[in-house]
Amino acid sequence: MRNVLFILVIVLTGYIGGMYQQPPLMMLFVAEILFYIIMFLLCLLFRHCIQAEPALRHGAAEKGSLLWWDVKVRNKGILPVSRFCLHVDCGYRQEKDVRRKFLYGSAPVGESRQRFGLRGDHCGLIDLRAGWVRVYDYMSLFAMKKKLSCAGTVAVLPRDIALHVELPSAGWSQMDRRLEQAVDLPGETHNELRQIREYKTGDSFRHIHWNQTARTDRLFVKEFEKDMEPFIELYLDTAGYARLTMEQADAFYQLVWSMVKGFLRHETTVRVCWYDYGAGSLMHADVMDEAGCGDMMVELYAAVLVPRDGRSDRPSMEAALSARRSAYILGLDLGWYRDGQLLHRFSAEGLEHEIETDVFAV
Amino acid sequence: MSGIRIVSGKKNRGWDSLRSPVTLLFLIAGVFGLLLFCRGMEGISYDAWKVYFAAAVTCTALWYFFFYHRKQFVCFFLASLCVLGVVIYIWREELWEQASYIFRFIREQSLSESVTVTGLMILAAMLLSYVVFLIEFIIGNHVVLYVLTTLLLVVTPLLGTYPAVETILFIVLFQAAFWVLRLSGAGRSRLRTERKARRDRLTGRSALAAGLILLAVFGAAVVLVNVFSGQLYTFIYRADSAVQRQVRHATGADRVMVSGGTVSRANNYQTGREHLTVRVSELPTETIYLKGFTGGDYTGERWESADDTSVFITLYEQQNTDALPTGFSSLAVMQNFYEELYYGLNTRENLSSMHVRRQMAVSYADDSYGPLYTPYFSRQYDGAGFVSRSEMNYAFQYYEGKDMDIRESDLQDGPYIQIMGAYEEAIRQVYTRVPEELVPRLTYMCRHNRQYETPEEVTALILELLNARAVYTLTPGWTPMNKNPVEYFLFESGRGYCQHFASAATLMYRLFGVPARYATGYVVQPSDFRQQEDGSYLAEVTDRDAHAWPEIFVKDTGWTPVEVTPSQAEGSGSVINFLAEDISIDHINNVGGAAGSVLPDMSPEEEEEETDEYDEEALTEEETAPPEVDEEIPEESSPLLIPALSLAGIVILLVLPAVYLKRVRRRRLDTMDCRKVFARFLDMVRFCGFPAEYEGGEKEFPSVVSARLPWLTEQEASDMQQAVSRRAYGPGTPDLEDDAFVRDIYRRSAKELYAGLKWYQKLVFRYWYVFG
Repeated sequence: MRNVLFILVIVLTGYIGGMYQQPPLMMLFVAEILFYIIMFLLCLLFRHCIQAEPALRHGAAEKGSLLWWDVKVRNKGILPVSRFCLHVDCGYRQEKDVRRKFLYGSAPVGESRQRFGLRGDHCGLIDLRAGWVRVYDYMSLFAMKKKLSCAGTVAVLPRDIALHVELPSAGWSQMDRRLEQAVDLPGETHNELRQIREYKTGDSFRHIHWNQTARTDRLFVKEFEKDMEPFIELYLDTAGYARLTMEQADAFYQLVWSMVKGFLRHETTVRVCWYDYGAGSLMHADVMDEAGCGDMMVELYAAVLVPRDGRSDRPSMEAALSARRSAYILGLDLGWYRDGQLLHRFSAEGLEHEIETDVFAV
Repeated sequence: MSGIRIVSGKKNRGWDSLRSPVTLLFLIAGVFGLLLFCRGMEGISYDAWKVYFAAAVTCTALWYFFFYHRKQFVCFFLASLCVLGVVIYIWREELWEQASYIFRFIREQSLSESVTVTGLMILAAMLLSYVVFLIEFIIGNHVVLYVLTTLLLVVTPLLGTYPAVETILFIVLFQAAFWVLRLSGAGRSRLRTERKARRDRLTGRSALAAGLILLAVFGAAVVLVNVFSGQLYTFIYRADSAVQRQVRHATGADRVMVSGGTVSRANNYQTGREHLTVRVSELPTETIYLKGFTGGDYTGERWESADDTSVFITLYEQQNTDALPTGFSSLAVMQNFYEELYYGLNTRENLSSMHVRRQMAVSYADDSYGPLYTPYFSRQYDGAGFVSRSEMNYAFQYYEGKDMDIRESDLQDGPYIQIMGAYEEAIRQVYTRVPEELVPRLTYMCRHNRQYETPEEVTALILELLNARAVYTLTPGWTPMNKNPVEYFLFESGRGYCQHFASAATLMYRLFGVPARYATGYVVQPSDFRQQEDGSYLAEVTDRDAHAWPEIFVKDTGWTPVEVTPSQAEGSGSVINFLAEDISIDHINNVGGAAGSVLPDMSPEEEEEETDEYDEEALTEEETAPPEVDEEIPEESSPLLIPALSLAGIVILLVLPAVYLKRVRRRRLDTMDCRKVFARFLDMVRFCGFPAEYEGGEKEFPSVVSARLPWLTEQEASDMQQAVSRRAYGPGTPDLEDDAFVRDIYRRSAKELYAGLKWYQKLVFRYWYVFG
């Protein structure tokens, strides 16, 4: 539109200047034409000179909090770029709705760092992709695109609140852990070495097999007989996930997070299991600390919890039912089960309040 | 995006991108440009430096308070307006007088006195500054000012006011700069930058860069227009002509035949479409004038149709009296008798020369009907013996001008002499009327050449004047809306075509007391005719043959065409043109002046005296040499002046900001901490070819730097790196020694690097980046 108007002004100026034979107006007419051409060339030049590199990466942020992304802008030319536009596509992975956001900026000569923030209001994985940067000339008559290939993912984690859980064998488990610590010095463990395997998230760094690691340049850990037995198992029954709204899913994830955090307070390892339709098998993540909790949530977000091709959710339910008697089961209805019995059903509306205030002795 | 929010920088307020000092410069340029419009009006004078100084001070004060003392700005704004109001009240009488003068000038376009309006212009300059500042900075709408200023540039020529080069330059700089500034801050979501000050500088630099490009481009345009002005105008006219032809062809306007008295204000584009077919019995030896319209009263825009009916009514009422002892039975009979009188008399007088009586048949193209196109000295007949009715629309018998030989002395007293005399007496009142208020300069000029009286002398004078003051062209450009086309043609542009020449000549004839009318129709040259198989001659008449000419009343031939248009003068068979060729015009008082010039008001007595005085002077031998005919044609400005001024302006505008930036940067370097100095150091060495991938924190950075910059040892480079690192990550207390150390390295490096650059790199190094 701006282009059309400018051309109209050029035509009008030339017409009036020619019809009245006015040299100043003819000079303006010629100057406008030359200026128009120069703006086009300038746009080409800016496109060549400017590089915008959003430092998109994998990140995590609590729901509702801001995560800042740096954009490194480099202008190789000698003229400042007054206006450019970064096209950023983002959307939740589980939703098909991807929207485009246009972020405008200016680029001085040399390098500059600019930033934008992202805030997710629901739990899940947000995929970010910067597809294009569009540069404009000074008058914004022309715009040219330059392709980018930057992508990243943001894991929007639930609020960091832990469920107050009282475990009956918490004291024994602590003593057990201390005993473990007392005897579990390098080379002096009383546990039988079961195998040496590659490091997985949640494994204790104390069990790293340094010789093997040095030989292969990959992390290996020693697995003792006792390591095969995480203290607490939590099965997630995701049958019916397809019918959940985002708010219901948020409540479920919040509960998972809070429950695991609550268990972790007792210095236990928590094994969280779920059925992944994508892998076609039962998946688990052993969480031993807070970092592991975040990793576990990312794996859970990335899992395919909805059966493909309209098949039934049966495998997920069966997996949950086949869990050990001592395992806890958490359903999408926010029901907390153990040994086939309902321990508690949380409410979606007052979930956070419930988590923060109530104490659960199990 | 449901559930996802991208948080960007704060939405820009209207003025956020305008904080740079560059905006003040362009604001002043815009106000200056608007003030310069007034300098284009002749008759208005003022002390320019006072007015521009007032505008500059007002703009500066507003800008300063707005950006640096925002809280006091509103008070300042209102207080200054109050002060202005008080000043207006105190000097209200002088200001009102000056304002009245300007209103009168706008209304009358010329004045008998010249008044200095400095006070009013100072006030206008200040108010204009307020208005522009309010719209651009406070309201934040550049579109309004852009549209208004563009309209000013393109509309004022329609009203006869032409902006000068400097006016256009200032206004365009203002338009472009604020366009850039507005767009730099545009966009609903903006990336957040490090520092706001840096962003403001960036927008200012962008505007400055755009302004400099525009200046350079304008300079180039000045040169191009001065060198290729003819080609440019031709290009515009060709484009306009092509469009108009298409439009006229599509709407059928090109089929419309000439039959009106409009004096065109625009160019004349012809399509070549055939309008008439003319068949004659013998090959003409003179130009044939086919008259379709006769103009009587001149209204300024057009000639009203001449209606002889009122004349004949007067004559009819005078019948059967001593004044006109004729006895026509009706008005129509009388009128018809008169119209064929001269043809009939010539036939009677030249009965022995029957062969000179020619036949003509006219038919319309496209089987349409149009006005009656009548040759001179003719009578209409049914075409019998010459052409069949199906091949014509109407036919005439006519004489060529050279064959008209009526001598009054040979006519016996009778109705012919009576009616000829009565008619001549009657039309002398009607067809010598001129609306002098519409053509004051033409009237003034004719009054100063009263020594020529006979139609032949007047004709010779008119031809001489027209040839001296005007050139023939079909593309003379537009006449401004507030100017009379004839006066504009004769006293300002000096370019026109047949309508302008004919209108000017008709008015001049009348001012000299010679009854004259304006006529339009077609002219057919003898060379246009092609012999047909039946021995007749056929010519196809197109819109290119459309023409306008004056006709004057000659005693023995009646209404006679006069050819005054240069393109048609050759081959013209007008009797008067023949007779005028032998007249020598010794002295022409070529007065009238250019647009807006002051004409003295004269009472009829003073006019009579001045004419009498002039008559005596005109006969003096010393004054026989004609004045320079180019005196009154507007002079063009020197072709070198404008480019030279533009170049000087470019140089000044380039140098001043560069000097200012350099000083600011130097001062800023003394207060920067070592991290910022180090960042500038990196920019500087990268400009000079240092690899861009080094950020300064690498382990090998000191060795690479010392290898590339021999005056720096590796130890110094390492110390600099550590100093910066300490500043960035160390305890909070700044170490001034580290800052001074890094600054010293920077300065040494700047000096050494500068010495090794090429001349154009040095300019950029020193004046653009201001590294040192």
